[in-house]
Amino acid sequence: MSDVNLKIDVHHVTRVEGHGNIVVNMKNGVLEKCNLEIVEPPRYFEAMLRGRNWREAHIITSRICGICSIGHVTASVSATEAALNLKLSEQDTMLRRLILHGETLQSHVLHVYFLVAPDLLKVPSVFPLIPTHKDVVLRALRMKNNANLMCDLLAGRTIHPIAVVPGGYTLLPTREKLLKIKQMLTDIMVPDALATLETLKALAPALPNFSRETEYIGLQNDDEYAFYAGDIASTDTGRTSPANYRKMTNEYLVEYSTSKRCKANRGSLMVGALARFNINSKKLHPLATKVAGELGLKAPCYNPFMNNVAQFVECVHTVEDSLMIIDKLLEMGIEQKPAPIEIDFNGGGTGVGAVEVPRGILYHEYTYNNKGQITDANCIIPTGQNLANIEDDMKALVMEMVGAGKPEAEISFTLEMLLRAYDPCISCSVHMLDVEFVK
Amino acid sequence: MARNIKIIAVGNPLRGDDGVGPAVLEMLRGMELPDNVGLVNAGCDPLDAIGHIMDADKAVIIDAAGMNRAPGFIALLRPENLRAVSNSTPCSTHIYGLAEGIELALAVGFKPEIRIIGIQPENTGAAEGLSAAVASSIPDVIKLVMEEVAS
Repeated sequence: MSDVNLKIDVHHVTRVEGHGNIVVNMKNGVLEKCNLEIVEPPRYFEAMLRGRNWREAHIITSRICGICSIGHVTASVSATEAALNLKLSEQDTMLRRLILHGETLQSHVLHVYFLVAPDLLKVPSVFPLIPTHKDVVLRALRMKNNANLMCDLLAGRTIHPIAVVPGGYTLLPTREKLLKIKQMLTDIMVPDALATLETLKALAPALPNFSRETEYIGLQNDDEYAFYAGDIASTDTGRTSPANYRKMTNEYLVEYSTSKRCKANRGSLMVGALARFNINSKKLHPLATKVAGELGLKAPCYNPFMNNVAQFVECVHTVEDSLMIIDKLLEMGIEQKPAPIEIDFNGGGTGVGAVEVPRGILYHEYTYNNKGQITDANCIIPTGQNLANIEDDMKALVMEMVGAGKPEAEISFTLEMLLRAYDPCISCSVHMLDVEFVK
Repeated sequence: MARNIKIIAVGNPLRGDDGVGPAVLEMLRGMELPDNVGLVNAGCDPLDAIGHIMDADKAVIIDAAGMNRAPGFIALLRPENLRAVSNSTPCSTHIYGLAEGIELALAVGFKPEIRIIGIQPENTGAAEGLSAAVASSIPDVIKLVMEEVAS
């Protein structure tokens, strides 16, 4: 029997959104406890939706998250459209993809540069990097601001967008706005992404070399690296319709966490950039494929720390894809036709919206009555789906590091890094807001 | 050329008095303002506010601020004051709070004139609408905004 004892208690892990604790107890080499405790109160969004009408659902659910509000709005309007049989035109579908790309870009840039890079450079935040890496910090801010601008121009607002509604948009972008975004992507985002590649080439070797295979789940369709629409694809069982999302989530509770957890075909599952990459990497655009190769990311990849590299590869892909969508829209010409204000409820119905948001696949399901009011709602967010997987990774990582004789402080730091690699949005997963900023 | 002035509201209207910034901004939208003044609702993401601060000559930020004063108390703050306020009552909803965001913008070399109008909230729990004390402070907040725009 080993004589290793560990007592790790990271109370309120920093640089993640919301409150989570890491608790590890090992006695004489036996792992007695290895928990990711979520300590935030539930938020009851699903209950708030009951009785609300079809025009309000996406406005309410947008408030689930201040970072991926566009994702929640998109999943919400998709669920309403599926339930009430509202069809989108080709143009309006392309715009949905473009708006989601704006959010993916701003969220991934924030995560890779502001939350993960400090770990790789062994500093507590970006502030110590300013004297030595000012150009990198400026680049990060520039990329985030321009991704925000893209959302502003397309959706009316970066956070809690106002133009996206069931059946289309209240306001469609003009040709001038699309040209402005195209110019920004070409002149700023592409060169900044190439510069980021060089930065990451220097930083990526500091990512822990850890591997644990799990079930990867993400959207998949025949046409593209799926973000907006598709089947739910699992690396264990293949494709199924979004209508079967409950079979791919199976929510359950553990007593030390206020957030529900999910599993599908094994003990845990992973969603997010790495899962999407493992499922869709063949559909990446050329520059993104090249960037993945240069950073050593190859499907299937079982190292959760490589999620951060996959996020950057997705940044490059979304820039390339956005340019293609904009060119197509410019060629077609934008039809300025706002969404319908009155619709036929056809007796109501149930619909599922499944959308890839920065942290993984997001499900909204609504049931409407014949007056267009919600009678039942369910939202399953990516962090909830990842929690069990993070904990399984933690257990494997602790055993591996103990086996290699690593000191407790290094194990504790690596566990925090692991949690941050998933970019968890704990507030969303328990459905909260008040944050204690602990350094 | 006229200075580029941005009035930036930070806060969440679903958290009671935290929504005072956006509420003031809505009032300002109905008022006549000079052409060089832009209105920005940065909502719950102070880092979004920073993007707007970076391309302004002057930024006037309106935000609920825990100052251990009576609800509705108004303070005109400078960035150097904010750090102290933020440390005593951290009330950011995201990883980078307003104080950190402003410090970041200043550290990387942006030097706009920054004024923060802080309003002491009474309640920042989950609720819609402002408390009476905070709502009655709005005319004074608007007066202060106008003075800052003119100065």
